[in-house]
Amino acid sequence: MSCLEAQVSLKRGGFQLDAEFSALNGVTVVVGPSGSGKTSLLRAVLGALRPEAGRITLDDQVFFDAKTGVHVPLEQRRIGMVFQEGRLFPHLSVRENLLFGAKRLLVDTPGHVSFDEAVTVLGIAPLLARRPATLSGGERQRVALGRALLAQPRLLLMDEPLASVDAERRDEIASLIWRLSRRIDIPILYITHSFEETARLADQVLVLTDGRISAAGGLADVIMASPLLRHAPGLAVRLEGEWSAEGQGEAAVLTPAGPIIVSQAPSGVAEGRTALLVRASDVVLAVGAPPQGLSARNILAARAVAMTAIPADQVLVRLRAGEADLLSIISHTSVARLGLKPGAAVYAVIKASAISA
Amino acid sequence: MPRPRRPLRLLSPEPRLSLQSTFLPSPAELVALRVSLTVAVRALAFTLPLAVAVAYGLTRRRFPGRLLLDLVSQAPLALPPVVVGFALLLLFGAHGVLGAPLARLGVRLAFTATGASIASGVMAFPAMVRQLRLAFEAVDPRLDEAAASLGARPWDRLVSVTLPLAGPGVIAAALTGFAMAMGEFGAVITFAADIPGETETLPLAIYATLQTPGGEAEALRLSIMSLVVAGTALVAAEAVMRRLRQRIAP
Repeated sequence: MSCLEAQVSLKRGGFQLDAEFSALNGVTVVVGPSGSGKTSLLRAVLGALRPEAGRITLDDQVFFDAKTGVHVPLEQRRIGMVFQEGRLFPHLSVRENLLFGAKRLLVDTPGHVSFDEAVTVLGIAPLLARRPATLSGGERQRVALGRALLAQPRLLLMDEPLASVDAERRDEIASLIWRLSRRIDIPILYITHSFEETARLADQVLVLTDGRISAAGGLADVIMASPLLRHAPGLAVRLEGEWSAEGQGEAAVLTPAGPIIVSQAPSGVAEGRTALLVRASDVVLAVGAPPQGLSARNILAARAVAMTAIPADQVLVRLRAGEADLLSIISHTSVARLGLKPGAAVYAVIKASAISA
Repeated sequence: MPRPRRPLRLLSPEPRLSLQSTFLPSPAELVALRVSLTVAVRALAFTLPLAVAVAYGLTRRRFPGRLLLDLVSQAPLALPPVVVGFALLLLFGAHGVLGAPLARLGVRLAFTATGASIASGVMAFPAMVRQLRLAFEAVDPRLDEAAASLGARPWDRLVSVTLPLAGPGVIAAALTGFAMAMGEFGAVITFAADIPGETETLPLAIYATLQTPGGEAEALRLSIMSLVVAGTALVAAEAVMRRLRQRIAP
């Protein structure tokens, strides 16, 4: 397990960034409005910006320490970076781009992603001979991700990597990034504006507002604590688990919330670990006895943990089901009708077809 | 009866002979061409790397004395070439600041072919730096950052990213430098004098023939040679630039 610890103070014009955080293996998503300092924070960790004060370390390696004057140059930090616009080298083929960092490695890290593995997982084998200028946005970002991974980084930074990707390909690449984050097992800092990407990827969320970290923690914690996330459209949580075949076009995923039936496995990957996105608007609540005679296949015993008002006269309910967090959005009227209070035992009802893997 | 030393051209029965003698260069004229090419190639050999370094430094780096370097590199553009030649004499002449110690080592630059290369190289330098700066400015500096994040050190990044991407611009700058070195007159004649076979380049030879009565035909042949060299260089450079541009952005 690696640990990135950063304490960064820097001033750019009238803007002051003062952020302190740590990130373990897995994806730490940094969200915040434009101009909140997300990119500056990332660039300071990368080594492209030198903070005025603070300290940045990865395990026992000091990247930056204002007190001792240490500032390790960017090229010696072994930090992989996926930029918003890909930044592939236009004069090199896709293959040469992929191998750019790999060729400059002195030693291989045990368990690193090989060229063949990266090409297969990212689905870029047909592109190897092409030039970057001929690639689509999604293809470009997959190559950029492969290029960063093949340099065997100890830390991976991604600055809105899906911003230049067509909307219909974003989910696909986001779940690819999630799968890779489990494979490479290093700390990943991921900047985004999108709640969807946050929900699909985050193991930890940092909310940056006006150059300060205003909330940090697990997705459900941060949603309840930060108005910025709470008001985002499409609120959802991610449940991770193992596939277990169920037959008849249905499959179940064994999650910490209990087994969840999904109507169909996406394109054959019905084995190993997967991540399900459960939208708060798809979770129906029932009180009293377990509901009977429903068409919905998933009925999970849960407890309402916290409730908070959100726009459009609705209430966001945070639930605990088994070992997992769930969210549900219901109306004020329903809350009153059910007499719902924090601590109440409820049943969370979810249609199999509403859950996307 | 002794034969006349030269056949009388006007009485020659063969019109083709006359055409040949008008348009085919004489051995002495070919020597001027050879001198010009040698001087220009050697001028380019030492100026181009220096111009690349200065242009790269001025575009991508911040360092003390940057403005001074900028001004010094532009100076030959604003000065009369004769003044540049004279300045070179003051520096590298037999009694010059650098010339005297060099002379003790047995190195003489003034009034030599090397001197002609230096004079024409110095005159070509500012235009090359200008063109190279444009070429480097056109390369996205963010690619440099991407290369650094992949472990490439500064020199590596210059050689494997910035220079290849600036390729067409570097070719254009080399062509400009070559053409300017081929054509330099004032600085060369002041610093290296007009020594046939050594420092007499095409422009110097053209000037010399024009000082001789009836030298127009020879001057014309020399001028045509200059034109052919410049034309060939332009076409070759254009072909190379096209190929490079295609490689960068198909």
